[in-house]
Amino acid sequence: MKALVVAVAAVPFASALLVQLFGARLRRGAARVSVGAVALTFVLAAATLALALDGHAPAQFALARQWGILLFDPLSTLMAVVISGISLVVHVYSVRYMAEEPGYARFFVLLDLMTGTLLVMVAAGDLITLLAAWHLIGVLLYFLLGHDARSRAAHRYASWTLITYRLGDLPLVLAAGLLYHAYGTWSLPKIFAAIGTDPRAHAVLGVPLPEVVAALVALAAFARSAQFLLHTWLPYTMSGPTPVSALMHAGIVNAGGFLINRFAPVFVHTADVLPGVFIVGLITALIGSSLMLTQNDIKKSLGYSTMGQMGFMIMECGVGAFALAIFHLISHGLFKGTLFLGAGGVIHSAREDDGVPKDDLYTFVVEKRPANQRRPWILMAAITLAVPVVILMAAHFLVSQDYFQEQGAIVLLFFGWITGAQLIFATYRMRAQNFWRLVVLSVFSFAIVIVGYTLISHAFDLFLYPDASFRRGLFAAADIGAVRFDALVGLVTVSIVAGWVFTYYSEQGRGRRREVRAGRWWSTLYALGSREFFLTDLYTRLARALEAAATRLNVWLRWV
Amino acid sequence: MGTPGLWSVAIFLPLFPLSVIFNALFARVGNAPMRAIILLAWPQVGLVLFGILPPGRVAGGVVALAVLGSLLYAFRAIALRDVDRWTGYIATSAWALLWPALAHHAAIDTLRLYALGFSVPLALLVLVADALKRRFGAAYAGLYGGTVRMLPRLAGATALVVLAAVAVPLFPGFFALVAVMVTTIPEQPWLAVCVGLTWLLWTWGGIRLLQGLIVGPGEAVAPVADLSRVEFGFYVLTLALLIAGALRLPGVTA
Amino acid sequence: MSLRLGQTLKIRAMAYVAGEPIPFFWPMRSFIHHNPLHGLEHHPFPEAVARGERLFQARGFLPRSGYQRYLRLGKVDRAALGAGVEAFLAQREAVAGIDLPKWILALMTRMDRPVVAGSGLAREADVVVALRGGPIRGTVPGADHVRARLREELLDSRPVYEAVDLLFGTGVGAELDELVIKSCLDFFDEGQSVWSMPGRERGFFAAWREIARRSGRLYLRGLHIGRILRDEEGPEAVIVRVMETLGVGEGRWTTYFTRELARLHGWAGFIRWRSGARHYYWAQRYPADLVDFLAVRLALGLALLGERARTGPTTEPELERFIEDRWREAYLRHELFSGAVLPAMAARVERTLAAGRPARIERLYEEYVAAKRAEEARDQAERLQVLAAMSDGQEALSRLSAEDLGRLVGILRDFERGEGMIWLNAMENRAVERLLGGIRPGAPPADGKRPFAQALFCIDTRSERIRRHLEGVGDYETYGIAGFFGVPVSFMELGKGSEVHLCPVLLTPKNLVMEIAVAQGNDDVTALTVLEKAFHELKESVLSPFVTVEAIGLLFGFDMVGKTLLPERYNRWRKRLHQRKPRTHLLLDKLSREQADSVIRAVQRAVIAKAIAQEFGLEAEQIHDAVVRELREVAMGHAQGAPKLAAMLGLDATSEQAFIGRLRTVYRINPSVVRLQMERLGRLGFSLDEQVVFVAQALKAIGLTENFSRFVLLVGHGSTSENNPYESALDCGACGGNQGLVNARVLAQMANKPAVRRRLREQGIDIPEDTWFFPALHDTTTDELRLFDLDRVPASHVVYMDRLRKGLLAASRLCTQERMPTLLPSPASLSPAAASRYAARNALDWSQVRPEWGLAGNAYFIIGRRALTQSFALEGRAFLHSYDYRIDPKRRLLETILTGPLVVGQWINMEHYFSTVDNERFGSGSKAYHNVAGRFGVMTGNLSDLRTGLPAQTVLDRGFPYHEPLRLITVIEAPFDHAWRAVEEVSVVKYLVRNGWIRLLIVDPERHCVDVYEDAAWSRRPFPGTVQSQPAEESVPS
Repeated sequence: MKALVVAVAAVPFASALLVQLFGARLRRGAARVSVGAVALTFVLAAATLALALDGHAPAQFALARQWGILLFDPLSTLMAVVISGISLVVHVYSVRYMAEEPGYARFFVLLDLMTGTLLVMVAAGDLITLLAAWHLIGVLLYFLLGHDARSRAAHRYASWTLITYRLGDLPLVLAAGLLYHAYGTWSLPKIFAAIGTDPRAHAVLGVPLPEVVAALVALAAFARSAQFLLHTWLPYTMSGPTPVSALMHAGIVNAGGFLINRFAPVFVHTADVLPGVFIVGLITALIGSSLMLTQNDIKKSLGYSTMGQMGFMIMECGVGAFALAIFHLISHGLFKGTLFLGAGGVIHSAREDDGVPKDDLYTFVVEKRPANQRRPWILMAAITLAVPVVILMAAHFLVSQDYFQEQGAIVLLFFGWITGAQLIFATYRMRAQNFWRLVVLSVFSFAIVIVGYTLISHAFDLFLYPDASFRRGLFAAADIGAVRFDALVGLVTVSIVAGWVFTYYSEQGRGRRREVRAGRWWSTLYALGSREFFLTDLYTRLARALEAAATRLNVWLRWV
Repeated sequence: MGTPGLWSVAIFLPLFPLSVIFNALFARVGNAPMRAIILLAWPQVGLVLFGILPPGRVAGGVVALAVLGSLLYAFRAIALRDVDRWTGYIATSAWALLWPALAHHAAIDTLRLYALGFSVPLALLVLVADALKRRFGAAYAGLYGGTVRMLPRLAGATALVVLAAVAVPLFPGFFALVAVMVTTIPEQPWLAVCVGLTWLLWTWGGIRLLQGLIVGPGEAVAPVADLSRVEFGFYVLTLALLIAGALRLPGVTA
Repeated sequence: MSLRLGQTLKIRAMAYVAGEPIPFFWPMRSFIHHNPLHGLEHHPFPEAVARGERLFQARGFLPRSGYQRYLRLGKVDRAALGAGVEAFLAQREAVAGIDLPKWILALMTRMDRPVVAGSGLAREADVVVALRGGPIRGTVPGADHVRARLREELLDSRPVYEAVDLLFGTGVGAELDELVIKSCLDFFDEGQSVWSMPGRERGFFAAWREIARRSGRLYLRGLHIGRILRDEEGPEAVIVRVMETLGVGEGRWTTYFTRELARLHGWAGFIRWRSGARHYYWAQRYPADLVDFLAVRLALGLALLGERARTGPTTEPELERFIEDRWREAYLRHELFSGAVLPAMAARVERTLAAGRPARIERLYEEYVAAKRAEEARDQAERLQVLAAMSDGQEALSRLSAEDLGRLVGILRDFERGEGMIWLNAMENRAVERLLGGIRPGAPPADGKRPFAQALFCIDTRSERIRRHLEGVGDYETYGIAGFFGVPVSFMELGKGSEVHLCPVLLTPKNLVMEIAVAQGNDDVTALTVLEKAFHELKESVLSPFVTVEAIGLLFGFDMVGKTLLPERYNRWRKRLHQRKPRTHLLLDKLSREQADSVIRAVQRAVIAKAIAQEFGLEAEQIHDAVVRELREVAMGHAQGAPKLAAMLGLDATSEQAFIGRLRTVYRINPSVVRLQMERLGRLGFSLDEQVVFVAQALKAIGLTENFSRFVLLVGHGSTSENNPYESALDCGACGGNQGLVNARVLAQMANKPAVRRRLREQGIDIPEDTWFFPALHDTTTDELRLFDLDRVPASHVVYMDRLRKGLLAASRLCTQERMPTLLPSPASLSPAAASRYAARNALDWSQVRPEWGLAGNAYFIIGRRALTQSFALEGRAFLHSYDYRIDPKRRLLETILTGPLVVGQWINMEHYFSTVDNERFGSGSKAYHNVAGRFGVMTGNLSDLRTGLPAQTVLDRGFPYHEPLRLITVIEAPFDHAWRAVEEVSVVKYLVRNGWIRLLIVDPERHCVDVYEDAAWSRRPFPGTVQSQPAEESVPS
């Protein structure tokens, strides 16, 4: 068993070393070696998952004396399978896609190192290994995104990513320090056991230790999963090759969700950290989805859609449904990875439907269809709002009754619909077909998505957090008063309807007087949206100011 | 802790105003091996002096001064394009971080290993800078660049050495910095945050330097010879030894 | 301040003239190969390339190492190199003691970096001293010399912000480009973003100003853009105010605008094309032109200058003064920030400039200039010694006097500037030699036997291979004709509903063709129960059951795993889910007035029947024709009441009137709509004599006027590829970047019409009864040949069909076997079956960046009979246009070939040439970093200019050029004066030949000689190879 777990993490590193040493001689063979190694890793990971599924007890294997512990538990095996699976697909895709790029062998070495580091992070059983893997991912991602060594712009944008990731490492190191200081050991299972027995034992500056550590871990997760104010790096990673974007959006960006799940035993004993996490996730989901709708190129719109989805995942953690967050990050990973790998096909779909409305003669003579009467937007908005709620309620009767009581679950499933809507926006263009057919289709696929969500998330819950009291503890930790909960649901409903109003405005845009006044307000909002709330400009100016200050400092302190 | 003794140690574990000595000396020395030796020896002398002096508590103020001085040099390093001065500033910033560990009575030989962990990558960087000077006339970021396509081995060595210098994981610097932060957290958490920020500024400075040296179109690079396999092997082997040493570094993992 | 009309027109004229050299950029939905230096085609080729290099900061020729590689591969004619060098040295007198030809040949063939380097601070005397190893002393270059060089370098040819960047390293240019690109993306987006920029109807500048003014306050603290964009001004006024604020002299505005446009030549080219494209839907709805673009760019430039360079000079007069009085600091700053600084002193220069004390700067300047001169002299001496060692002239070099050395360096510098042309001519000579060695001018006597099938292929270079294999497989004859078969068509596809122009971009089609489905939804009526209707509703929609698989598939990665691990099987299964396109017919006969009226009436009756069914839920049998006819009369206003309907349904008067009202409004049964439809229907289709002209023109152009076989295939071509933004570049260039099938179906339908054949027989083209024209599609990615419209084939031909299908299959498999080794990573010979499997995989694999080589490798354009090239395997490198000079006495057909296909061929050739020599500036870089923007173009990474030209994967193979960059070598098989007078009459082609954009050869089959046009003179050479004595005499048909 130990050999299996260690092999899962070791094989990619061995393959990286092999490809680096014999890369020049193997030429295209290097890719085959790398693909074979990742395939082997996937098989091993699947084997460990199979063992975990049929009830093998969680275990840990220490490589070095104090640290280097690899865990074997449901979370690590599941994530190992996901990461090695996606890495396998990206490897096979890159064999031909990157064939013409200089640094072909170097690309596969970096891919293998990244896969190995991710697998180590997922299986990290102690704080030092976790910190090392967490930090190394940021550095490897910088070199993957900056693969085109000729382009200075690619490296400039990649350094945004690296700086944000390093900003995210800082709270994690502080949390590790606090835990080591309080409990004298680096090993996570020991720490979680100690916290379990007596959560209020230690305090930092008057605040109980679990609260502080949970807050710091949440901060680290925010930086890694591009939450609002720390998100500007994600849409600007498109200078990297497409396979890197696919691997990143499917495997790396959602490490924040994994980290919060890993520290679940700490979050259980917190009172007001999770609602804060929920708020941040909510803001990010709304802003990410709205900015996605204003982007003019395919990759940046996918980037912002990922930001929205990561916000949604953090919201799921915020309401206590940790297992659903894991399921969501897996399904979003596959969904986004596919869209990225097929991003070149936009021109093909544009050739079929380039947005030019059908010619009157055509609709009359060939299709004999009545003039496309203007759709009642208000009715359509109401339908796409009401219908999913009905489905949500129906979905509940499929699932056991008590599951329904947790408020968080309701919010969750209500937001399950957002993924459905996100899916609809991303895959079909609303204005292409006629109205009734679209309603039938959307209802049909919402039902599939929501029922799928409910059933599978329940299965994940049973697998990842078997003991029910722990789950209830999580929900308790995330519990916010009933009043604030309803206010939140109302707020989100209003924002979704507002989304429809924006779409209505951007479609109309004709110059009536009432329109002009609204138009001015709407163009201010658009100006804000098109400059992405001025955050990117703010951060660039901040960086430039720091460099100028450093230069001036160097001039004044010339001698010191 | 007698002040004269402290001042002498402060020269070698550079506290802010006294770091002028090291930097001035480092800037004067011309040839590369000599600079590498200075880098390796300088902190060890400081630790030896600290060992000789009568044991006493290091004042809190000194630790704060050390950490803030380290932050200052890290901040100044982000705007530098000349590799030699960058090495000097990062060395000053790194050694100053030994003071918090000194203040918490960490074992001297552990600190000696930490100092070595900081110094060896910087010594290698001096050698790499010398290799760059021989080929392009100066080790200056943003002037030529584009060495990844033309001189892959030299670019690889530069990248690995700079990463080691900015304490990327599994290099000793990483474990040293984690140990320093862990020791400072209980009493003065804001100091730990400063150490973290210093670490962030190192990464930022290191990446800016790397972009200037290895990234770029590369046509402008005159046809010069790449590192020989032996030289490249030397760099990789030294770094591998560093990692092996780091894995068994006492202190953090003890 | 509002401008007088005169000044506004002047600005618009200036912008128009400034935009001339910028090439058009067509949306990539229909990729148009075009010459990046199209705006400079009125200059001779070498001069145009020099101007293009300066304007676009790009390379016009391969680096010398690239040509040396071709020399090793035997693609360069050494004799021609020697001749080129001789010609170059002829006008220059020799240098004492130096064997110049030997030196220059050594320079070309053995030295891989330029021998003359540096900006020339060091004078000849210093180089001589350096040669002898002495220390360099001497006077420092004076102030006015430095000022003159700085002024020429910074002010004459650059925009102001570029000069400021070069002096203070502020990076304003890069940030300005990003802001302008972001504004262009917001405005020109064609449906990618759901919330698009408001107020785009008012034009680019007006819409942008609304947004910029609002974001001005918050956006960048100092960006006082609000002040620049006062309300009442138009773009021209803003341009004038900005240029006057910058203090640029009015005389230099046009060149200034050209430099500004050339920085983002992708967007500028797109806007320039879009402002002229009247038919383009998005241009009509959201107008924009170059004046708007310039206004946006200049306004943002001024704002950024104000914000980023607050302390230093920001206008031309201030820059002038800065260079005047602080010229030393200006020189040092320029050296540092333009990257030309001496590495050894770089750190000191930076520190001194940062400190900014004049005394220290002056001392540093003296020291710096001396060191720089010494370094330059040493470097120049060292390079000369390397060259001398290669041509063993070391001691001659050391004995040279300063004055001789100066002349030697001058000669070498001039040579290196013109070296590219010598290499190009040498490569072209070798290519001409290879061609003339292979073609056979003496056509063998036509054996009169009727071929089993004749096939008309597009002139595309990929057709050459499949034609050669088809002829090799059986008794087939093939011809080459322009891909659109000479029939410009504006096509309205079933399901798309908007017009697409299927013809070269030079022409605009006048005739509209519509596609209607054969089985017009008759199963609509048979759906009985409500559930069946709903299910049918679901199935009939374009997405249907596919939706659920899509919804689930994407969530659980079926797509991701399937498309990557087993692309063919997975994609074929997905295609089966998609709605099969129903069999369709083309409406292409012009309707007379009454025919159009009866069509309208029939359609109206159908709509009314549908309306009744929908509104009142009646079944088909309950709707009586009389009722429908009566309703139509009422709706059209010819009658009042609708008694029959009211009686049948027992409607009272008001609901009846309401229904009629709805008929008029919702279902568009009213006189005004009918008038509009009648007018549109008038444009539909071709009249009979138009059809006759098109068929006659097509057949005569290729010389097929007699001896027709039973099968005449019209083979258009297209391509299939997955996840490929450049898929339209692989389709047919002559059909405007679309597939050639529709044009083939149109011409086939015309040629099969008995009335057309009767009129043709009167004109002397006798098409026998049993000849049938088949439209077919050649998929150039899988080399598959598929026949279409088989349901209209007469019974007599069905018997022969399997022999034809066997022949076509054999030809495509052999062609794939020959083509596939070039696509594999390691060239291994494959069996036809394995090659076809690879080709099929390439077409469906979404990770394949090079499904086929496409047009890469094009070099020749041969106008002549197939016999000329039948026996020569041209490896898919030649455009072959069939032409028989004997049936074209008035040279009219040759002129149509020259104006249409040859110009398109030249554009394709130049696009590949410039994308190969400089793939980063003229081409579009690597596909791995492409990011589709606005559904019409491609950017690299997050934000870049619109990438024009071809990607690296199309023209390069692992870094080395796969496409040999040559000019198009045109061969016309006809008597000399016949061909030359035709070329003279077509002015476009005449200047292309005169200015050297095309190499022209005329092969005279009767006198067995070939005339080559080289630097403005004809040279006649006897035809190499077999010189048959007896010229082949054929009976010239009546």
